[in-house]
Amino acid sequence: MKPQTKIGKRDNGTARTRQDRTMRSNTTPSVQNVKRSEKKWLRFSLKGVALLGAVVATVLFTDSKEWFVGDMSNNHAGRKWQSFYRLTRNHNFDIVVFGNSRASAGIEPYILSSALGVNTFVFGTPGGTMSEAYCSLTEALRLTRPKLVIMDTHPFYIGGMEGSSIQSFESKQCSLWRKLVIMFLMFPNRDVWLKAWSPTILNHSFLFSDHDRIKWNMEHPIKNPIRHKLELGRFSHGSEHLSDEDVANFEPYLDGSTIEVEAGKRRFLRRMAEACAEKNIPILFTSLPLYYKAFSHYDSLKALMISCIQENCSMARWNYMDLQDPYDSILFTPKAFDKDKWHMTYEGMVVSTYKLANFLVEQGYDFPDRSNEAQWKADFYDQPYFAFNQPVDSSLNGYTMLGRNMMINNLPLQEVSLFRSDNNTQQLIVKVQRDTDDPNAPDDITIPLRITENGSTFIVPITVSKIKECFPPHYDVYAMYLRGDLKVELY
Amino acid sequence: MLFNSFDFAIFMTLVFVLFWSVFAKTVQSRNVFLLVISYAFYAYANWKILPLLLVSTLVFYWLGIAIHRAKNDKKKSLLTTLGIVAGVAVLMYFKYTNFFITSFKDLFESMGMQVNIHSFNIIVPIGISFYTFRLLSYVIDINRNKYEPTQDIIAFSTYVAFFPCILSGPIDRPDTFIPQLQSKRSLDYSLLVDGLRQILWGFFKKMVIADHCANIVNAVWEHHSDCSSGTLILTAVLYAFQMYADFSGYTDMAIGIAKTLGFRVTKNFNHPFLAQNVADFWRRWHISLTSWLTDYVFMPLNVAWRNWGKFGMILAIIVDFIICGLWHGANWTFVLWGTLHGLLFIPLILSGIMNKKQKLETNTLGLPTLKVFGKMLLTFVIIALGMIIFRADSIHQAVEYLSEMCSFATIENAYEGLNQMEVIFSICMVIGLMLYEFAMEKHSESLQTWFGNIPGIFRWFVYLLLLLSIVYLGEYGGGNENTFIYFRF
Repeated sequence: MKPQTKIGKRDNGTARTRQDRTMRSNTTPSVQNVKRSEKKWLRFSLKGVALLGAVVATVLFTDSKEWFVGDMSNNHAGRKWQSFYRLTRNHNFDIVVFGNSRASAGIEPYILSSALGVNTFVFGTPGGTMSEAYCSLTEALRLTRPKLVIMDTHPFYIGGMEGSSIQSFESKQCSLWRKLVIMFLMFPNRDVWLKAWSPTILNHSFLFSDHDRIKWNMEHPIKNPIRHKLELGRFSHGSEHLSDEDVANFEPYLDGSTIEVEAGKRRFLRRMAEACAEKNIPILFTSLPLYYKAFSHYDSLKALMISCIQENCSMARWNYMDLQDPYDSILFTPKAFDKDKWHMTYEGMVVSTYKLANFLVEQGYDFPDRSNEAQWKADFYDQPYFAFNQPVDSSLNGYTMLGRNMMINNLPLQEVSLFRSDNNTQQLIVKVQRDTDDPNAPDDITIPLRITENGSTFIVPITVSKIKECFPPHYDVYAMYLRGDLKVELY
Repeated sequence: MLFNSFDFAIFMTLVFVLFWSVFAKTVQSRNVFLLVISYAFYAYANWKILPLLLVSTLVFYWLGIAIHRAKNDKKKSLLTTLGIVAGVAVLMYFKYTNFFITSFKDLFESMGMQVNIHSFNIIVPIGISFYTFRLLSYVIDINRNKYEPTQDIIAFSTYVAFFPCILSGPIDRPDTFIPQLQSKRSLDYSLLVDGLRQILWGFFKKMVIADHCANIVNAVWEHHSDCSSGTLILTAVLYAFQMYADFSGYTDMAIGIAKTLGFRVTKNFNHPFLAQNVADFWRRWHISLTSWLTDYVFMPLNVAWRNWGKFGMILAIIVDFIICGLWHGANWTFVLWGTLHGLLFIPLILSGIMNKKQKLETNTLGLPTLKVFGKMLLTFVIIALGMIIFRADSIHQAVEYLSEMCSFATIENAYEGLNQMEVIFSICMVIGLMLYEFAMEKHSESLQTWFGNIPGIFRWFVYLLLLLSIVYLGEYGGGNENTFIYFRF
């Protein structure tokens, strides 16, 4: 008989055989099966977790490399939030503006700031929704203490764009918990959640549609360089305005009698009001204008806007400024509106901003006067319209003061100055105090100047035209261009 | 709730965990749980359509018992007929009322008469075509004494509303599915793994193949008058694969999900583009629908008209396919499509090869022989041409497309909106899919054995590649543009 194969020792020291092992396994088959089964499930679960982990790791890798990031030059939300986080390190913003692209193309923060002597930031996001506005408001209030919140009413009744909301979400630099809350609020469609977190998931289609973008991203580590030291969130649509043909063929496309404000939007409106009320910040609701032909039954829409605000904002201090009605057809000409029929041109933006500035002054809003702060002057002195909005002084390059606070030809002149941008031309700027009893200032005024040319001096009455789109609070601005070789003084 | 949506991923994870950890201990608790979540799944789309499903289920449950208890054949037939009429009437009301109203209106207006009738605002309950057929097969089979009605209303209701299959099938028969609901099941490792694999493959087909083909197909159909013949031919081919990848992808997901819950659901596709004639195609495409129509429409008609010989069979098959076309939707294009398919059976019936199983003969290289390849290609061309009619919004549009496709005229200012990379990618995917299907047709068992025997790390690497393909190459978003095609039916 063949000796049995020895494979180990029994507990009593004698050798175990394969027969012993078989006998032992035969006595507890279910226990061993269960253990084998548990190990199998455990292995499977671990492999499954590892598989999903590998997928997630790959996505995180491509996210970290930013290979699938979109064109940042078109990422308005990204640029403005990047700027906001940078500027709030040593700025406090006195006026913050929310809405969609009509707000970012409707209010000029540089002009509003210099006209009132404040800091303004415009958060209006192209395609922005009410939920996006609310989330942006709460994030803004975390970092700055404004004196006024301005909310345009357009998002009340217009849908938003998912891509813009995602850009706005991506741009927020806050805690993970806060970002999760923002995600829940901004994206009721849960299929968007993964896209909101991962540019790879959002833009993986670049592999087909825009592989040049992927290549560019791979070659440029910095996707979004800082373009402007004082990016305040505006986005001008430029100057391609409505043509005569556009005006002749213009058909209304918004019927105020059929517009509704969804319950979800009303909820976010209420939340915005509550957030402002909590910090005792007043809200100003604005209806920035569309070209007057865009609407039919605007009165119905206006009534709806007011009733929405009354119903949902009773806990806050609020006000309402409507630039659509009454409609100023003298200033809101076709040149004030972009060819796309939704936005204003820069000219329109300037007019809206001055109207807003005047409204705020008339309504008696209390803002700090930063015009004497060195930081504020350094920020704004080289911005558009600064010299029109603020007194000219020696800190402004190229400007010469000719006279201040005088009466000439029965005109109360607040300031007369010259601006020389080059040797060929100089601009004469005259600020005339506005008569509150008769705010309709003349289109042209005449002031006498002493002009010296080639050693000869002449007294010349110069007719200066009003800059219609520029009307800071309390005065109107007139200007004309003179030859650069002339020496000009007030007579 | 789409299978390829975030909501469904959360839903399914919760269902799977709760099902196996809490509710699978007893048959009754498991079925109640399945029923509740199936109704929740169905109501998620629109809760207003849930009552119809509930009432239909209760009516047919009672009918099944009443038919079985009926004292004589006359009463049995009467009750069965009642059930069929009720089911078909409900289906026709929801799906075809506006179709008939519009058709009558167009007919009268074409004769110069003005008719003042308006369509109704009827919501078509999603999945009605599928669950109605399930209910009808139940009462008909009971009438045929194929099986006895179930006394377990929970099991019956779950069979009707089983959430992986309610929206787009497969149309399981009661005798294959209800017994599974009435037997205890435990979490089977190999079934679970198989199910997950099938789900993964289904996602790949839907999101990587079907949806990319859809981008091209939709763009071309929107501008078909500005496209060259070559583009239109390519689009017709891609649409056929879009349909297949979309529907079979959905089916794979449905079958895979059922497997993860321990249930086996009937197979619905068997490499249809390897068919060598139209009959062979229909034995491979939407198998559950074809077999349902064969058992409950074609066979009874064929028997009733058997005295007419082959002419009777031809008539039966044409009627069968007209119903098939109509089942797909309320449009004359579907009727025409179905009729054409029925007519395509005529040469097969006359030559006696309709029911003959086609062998996939290969040459020494393992590829199909020239004859077989020719037959496959011809069958594919016929199917793809038929799908043009299926895709079109109207017969007029279908005729336009077909004539533009065959004109080979030079197009000025041809449509150039197609993404070339996507076109090339779709073509490569289609070729890859066909090669895979051929390999599976010919060497299914050996391939599966081989795949099961390779080291686990390589298997899981394949899964990783599939998942990464879905993430990086798939079309997703869950919006209407990514809805499964067969949800419309």
